[in-house]
Amino acid sequence: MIQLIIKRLAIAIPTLIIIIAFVFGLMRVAPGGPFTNERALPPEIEQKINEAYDLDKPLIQQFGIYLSKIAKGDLGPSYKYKDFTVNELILSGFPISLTLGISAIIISLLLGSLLGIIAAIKRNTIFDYAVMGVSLIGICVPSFVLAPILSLFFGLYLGFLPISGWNGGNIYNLILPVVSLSLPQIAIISRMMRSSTIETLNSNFIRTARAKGIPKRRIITKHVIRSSILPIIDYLAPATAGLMTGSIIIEQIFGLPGIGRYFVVGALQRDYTLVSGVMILYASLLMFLILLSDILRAILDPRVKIK
Amino acid sequence: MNIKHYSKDDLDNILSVKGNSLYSDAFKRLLKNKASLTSLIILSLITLLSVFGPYFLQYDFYETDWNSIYLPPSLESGHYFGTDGNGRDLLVRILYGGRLSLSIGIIATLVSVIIGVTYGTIAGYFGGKLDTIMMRIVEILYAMPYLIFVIILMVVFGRNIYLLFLAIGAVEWLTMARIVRGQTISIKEKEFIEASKSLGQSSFLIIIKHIIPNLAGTIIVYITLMVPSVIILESFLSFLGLGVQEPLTSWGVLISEGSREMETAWWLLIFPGLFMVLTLASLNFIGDGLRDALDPKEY
Repeated sequence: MIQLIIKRLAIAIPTLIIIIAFVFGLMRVAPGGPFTNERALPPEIEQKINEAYDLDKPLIQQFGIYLSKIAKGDLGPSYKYKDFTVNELILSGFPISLTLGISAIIISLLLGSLLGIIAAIKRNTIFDYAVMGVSLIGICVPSFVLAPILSLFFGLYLGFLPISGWNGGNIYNLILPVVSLSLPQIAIISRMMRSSTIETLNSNFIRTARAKGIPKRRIITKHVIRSSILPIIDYLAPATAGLMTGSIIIEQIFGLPGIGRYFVVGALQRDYTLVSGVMILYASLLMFLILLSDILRAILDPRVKIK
Repeated sequence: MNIKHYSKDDLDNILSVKGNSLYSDAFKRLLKNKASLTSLIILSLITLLSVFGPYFLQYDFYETDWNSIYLPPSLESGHYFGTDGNGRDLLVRILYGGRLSLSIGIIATLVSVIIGVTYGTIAGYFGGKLDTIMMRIVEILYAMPYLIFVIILMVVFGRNIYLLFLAIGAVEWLTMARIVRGQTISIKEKEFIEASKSLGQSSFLIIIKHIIPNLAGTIIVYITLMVPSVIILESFLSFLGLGVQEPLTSWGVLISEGSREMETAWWLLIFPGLFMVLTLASLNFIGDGLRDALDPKEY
């Protein structure tokens, strides 16, 4: 197990450095720096600003300084929000995005797998068709169509739920964003779960279990789920990536001050450090999730040898 | 013992029966699938409307009319889908948006297919260390929140529509490369490839002449499933203001405008959304149908 973790980390760290280098390079290649204004600054002042932010040094050296700061956990000052560091900005947005993301992923995993299993067991019944029909809608209706429609219906016509704002994490403010964020994932997961459960149900070891007279409920809880959940575990990291990008839009629509908002604002204003900071955070989270899904897989699937 | 004697006519009859190719068979199976057939009709209708529709309508997509702002849909006014905040006819804008969304879908998909197929066949065919390295790269890229890369690309290089095609194509090729590689590995073990090799055919020609034609079915299925995800991606970017720019429009732009104004004018969100959802659903059904049709084992 420890070997697996070490091996994964050995891949993850160079990957992170490559990502940082890529984002760093791209932002520097772009025409126009963060301090390019329509009104030109006097050259001395520009010189001073560039010195203060290390922008006058050669690129390689800038990258070195940046990397060593990141290693200490310092993402640098924000170029646009002058009085804030990137750490402060991310810390202020992260709890919101995390609450949103974790609730969405838990709901989509639980509901998605549950619906998928039931649809597979009750294959070709009305329940199956209903689940698959709804999940088709979930796949075809992008979240940025769904979210406005939901808030129009529940927020404005029925007046049940608030349509925007964070309000200190009030549960009612969370419902609409979480639902519109998780519906597409529920759709994908339930379809995956359905097909993998059907496959498992048709396999030999299940037939053996049935022949031995094990009750159906027990076969499903003990044998089927353990094997059919594997594709879902592999899907954990892509699902999270999907939720991250989805949350950028959802935070925009529902006016939530999460890190997705900072990312878009940062990207539009060429706030190099802010964009790379968010990017690094996203990438590290994903690496962590890949590691997590590898470990889970190794625990659940005895065929995976822990190399 | 009875020996049946064939006359010359009989033989001619037998020889004149044409064999069915794999693809014509698959096409017949596809047409038998009701969901796919309906989707095929809907998709063709939307495409035809987008391409030719604007010529038959009395309004232009950039034409503003300050006397008809936020007109609800009605038959009398000639604005069948209503108008937006600048008095522009929504139907025409949806059709123009459709042209753009569909062409981005097709072009970006082609870009990603070209990259993915080249990459996948090379990795799969040559195998060994090269394969390991190439697939490791794909694996790493796979874990990236790639949409965020597209956002950065769009910000860095400006909001250019051609770049949009390229940027989307450049991130969508990963799945294609993986699938193509897997298929290539299984095809290259077949006898006919060995025969071709023993005749001294070069690797390049084997890939072009023997491997890629055998991959065609898989590639077609994935194209139909990739076009919808590209359309969503474009809309996503346009929604953030990073995609298509005014006065041009796409379904994503229209939806994003619509969602901002839905309280005053619901039709601005519902109609573009409907067109987009119908297109995505049809493409998904066609993709599913094609997969079943090309893989008769499933029956």
